[in-house]
Amino acid sequence: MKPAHDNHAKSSTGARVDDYLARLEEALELLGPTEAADTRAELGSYLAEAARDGRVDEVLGTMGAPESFAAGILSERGMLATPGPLPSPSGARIAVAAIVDVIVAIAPLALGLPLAFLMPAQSMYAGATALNWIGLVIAIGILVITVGIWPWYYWRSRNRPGRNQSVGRNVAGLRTVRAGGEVRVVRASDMPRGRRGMTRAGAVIRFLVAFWIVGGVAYAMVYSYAQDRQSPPDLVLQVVAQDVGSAVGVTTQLTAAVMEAVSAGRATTEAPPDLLEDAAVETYLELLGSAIDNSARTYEITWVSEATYVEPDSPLLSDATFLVEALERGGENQAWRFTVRKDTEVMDDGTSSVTSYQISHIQIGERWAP
Amino acid sequence: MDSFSSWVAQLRKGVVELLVLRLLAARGPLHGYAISRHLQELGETVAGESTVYPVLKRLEAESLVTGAWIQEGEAPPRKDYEVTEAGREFLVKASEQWQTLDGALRLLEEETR
Repeated sequence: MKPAHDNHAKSSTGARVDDYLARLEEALELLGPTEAADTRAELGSYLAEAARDGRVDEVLGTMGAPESFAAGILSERGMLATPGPLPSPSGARIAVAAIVDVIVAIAPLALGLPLAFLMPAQSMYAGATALNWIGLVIAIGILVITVGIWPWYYWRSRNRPGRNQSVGRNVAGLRTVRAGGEVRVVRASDMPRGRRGMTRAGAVIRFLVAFWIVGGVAYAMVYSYAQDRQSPPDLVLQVVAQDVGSAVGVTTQLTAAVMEAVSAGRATTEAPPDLLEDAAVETYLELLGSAIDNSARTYEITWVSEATYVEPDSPLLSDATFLVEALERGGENQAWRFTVRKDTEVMDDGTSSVTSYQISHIQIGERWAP
Repeated sequence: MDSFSSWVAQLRKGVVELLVLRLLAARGPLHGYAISRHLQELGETVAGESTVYPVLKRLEAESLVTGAWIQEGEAPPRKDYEVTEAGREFLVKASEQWQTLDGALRLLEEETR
């Protein structure tokens, strides 16, 4: 029976040889995956012969570091010369790669921002569904990846060869390869063919599939949003676009100003002029003004929920739907729905009074079913 | 690397190509390890793995030698190389060139004596 230390030495040598061969294959990537793998297998056989003669250490010492040994092979083939048989890619290709990389980096942000800050946030006001909450989690995940993980991954893989290279370089038909001890960017079409590695078609398909998945999730959320609001999906995009401009800050300021004016019996046009630009807001002002003197053609205010319990000294919060429809604007009927948050203060004697109104949401529709 | 070492490296690189082809032409198919061992037996400084193997791979890429994987018994498969027809033609020309250079060198040495 062989002594234990002998077995340990053998396994240690085997691990060292395996590590050497793995590094060698990586450093030979410029040869193409087939020849690199073939050379690895051949060197494995070579070192097995050396092991039988007890010369592994000697042979490895003669070969030197795997990167420099690989550099010797590539140099013999003229692949490390500049300019060599593998010309540097054109500036146009590099530009295409950079543009695609930027798109890939920005796309999750562009999708994640509206999903995270508009739809789920507004759903909280109007009553979130399970799908909304799932959407919120997905959106936050997209943002985390975009803000944190994606740039980190991109930075980490910027100079890594093979499958870890950027999407842009794959789409542009470029390859980041390790040649000996250096990293180079070459045209994939200039490299020897092999079994492994991602083709340009594969990269494009991955890119499209990724967009399809992300776009599908986004569309599903938008569709769900539309279903929740009983609104045609194509109008939801208008809603989102309008919400970006009006729902954040503007409507709350406007409502505060308008309600203050209404309660004081003043004309609604006293609201700040810069808040009156939006058509929906203008309509709202008109309606508020009409409601005061009962001149509105068609409108309806429906309190959809009221708090039934509240902590002492805390304001009562309730959501209300302010529905306005059939206003003739430019010969077309329009419908506006304002979701209004009503703050009610409860007094010590049990009485209550409304302290403020805030618009939390505005939607546009052809006609809103009551 | 000093000038002499650099010159030896360059010389060896050119000579190893000739030695590998001649060895394969004389001994028939050999695998990489056997080629290295044979050359090392000719002299310690003739060629090491770091020189022989890259040259062997280039000769294969240039179709001057051809390699084939051989499986014998339970031993790991190995790749045997043999000289191609193009390699033999190359060897003839290279040997002639070598003889010419060698002759010129000897002639100059005799003149300087």
